[in-house]
Amino acid sequence: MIKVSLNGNDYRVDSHLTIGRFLSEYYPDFDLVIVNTVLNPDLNYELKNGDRVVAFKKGSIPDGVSLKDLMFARQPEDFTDKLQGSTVGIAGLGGLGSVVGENLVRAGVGRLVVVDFDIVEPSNINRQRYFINQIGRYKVNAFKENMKKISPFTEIEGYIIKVSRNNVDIFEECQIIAECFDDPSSKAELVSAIRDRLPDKIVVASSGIAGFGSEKSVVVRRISDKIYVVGDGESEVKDRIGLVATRVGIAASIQSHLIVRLILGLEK
Amino acid sequence: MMLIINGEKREFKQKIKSISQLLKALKVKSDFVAVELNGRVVFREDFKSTEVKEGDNLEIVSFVGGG
Repeated sequence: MIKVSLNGNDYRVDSHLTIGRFLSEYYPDFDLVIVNTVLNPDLNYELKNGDRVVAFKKGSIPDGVSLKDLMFARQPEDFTDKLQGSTVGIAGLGGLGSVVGENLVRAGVGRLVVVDFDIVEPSNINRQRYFINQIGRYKVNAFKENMKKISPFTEIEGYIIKVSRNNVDIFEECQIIAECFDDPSSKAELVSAIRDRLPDKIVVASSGIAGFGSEKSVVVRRISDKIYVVGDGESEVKDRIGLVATRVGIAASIQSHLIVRLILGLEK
Repeated sequence: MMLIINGEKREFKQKIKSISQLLKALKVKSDFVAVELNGRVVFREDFKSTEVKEGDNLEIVSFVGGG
C-alpha cells in the first residue's frame, strides 16, 4: 500500500495503481488533474508514495476541498509551506513595490509588512498595480484591497508613514526587506537604517531601472550576504528617460524571485 | 593608500582622510549612498567627520532614482 493525497485528503491505495484508475474511483468527473505540480500528466502514470494529486472540474472549486490546495497545486508543497511561514517587508508600494508585493502574495508568502506614505496618482497607473478608481487613495489601502481579491493566504500589515531610522523597527519580524523606493536619497537612507538597526535582515534593494534600456541589463549585484541590489546601477530618472511598466516590472520580478529563492534557501 | 571597498582592494594615489573625500574620489553623490566602515554604518551627516585609515574595510552602495 502507498499513501497519496487527493485535493488535500490522504488515501491508502495499492501500489502500481495508475492515476487514471485512481481518479475513476475517487473523482470520476474531473477534467483537470495536477500531479506533483505537473498539469495533465499521462493517466497511465503509476502513483508513488507521497504523490500529491489535485483534480477538479475546470473553473470550479469542488466541495470540501480547500482553496489553498488548489491554488498552490503548481508549486512544490514544501516550498509553499516555507513561503507561508515567512514574513517579508516592502518599503514603498510604487512601480517596484506593488509588483513585488503581488508576486509574493501569489507565491504564497504568509505575511507582508508594507509601508508607503503616498496616494495613488494618475501618473502611477502606467506601471503600478492600481486601478483608475483607486486614484486619490492611500497606496497601502489600495494594495491591501487588491491583494485581498487575489489571495486570502497572505496577512498584510500596512503603515502609512515615511520610513526613517527612527521607525525602521516596523520590519523587525521580517526575514527580508525589499527596498522599493523611487527617490535615491530615501533608498540610501533606508539601507543605512536597516544595516544600523536591523543588521541581521537581508535587504533586496534596487538601482538603475529607469528608461527603455535592454531587459538584459537588469541584473542582481550581491554586495554582501545581507545586501543585494537589482538594476543596471546607472539608469536614473531624468529628462526623456522615464519609467515604463515593462522594465520596472522586470526589476520587480527579479527582486521578488530573489526573495523567494532566499526564503527557500536556494540562494547561496 | 589602500582601502578595501566592497571586498576589493583599491589603491588611491592621493591620501584620503574622510568618507566625504573618498566618495568624491569615487565620484559618488554623497546623498545617494549607504556606507559601512569596518562593519559599522556611517550616516550621511557623519561623512565629513568620519576618518578613513589605511586598510579600512568599506561597503559602499550607491543609488540612482526610479521605482
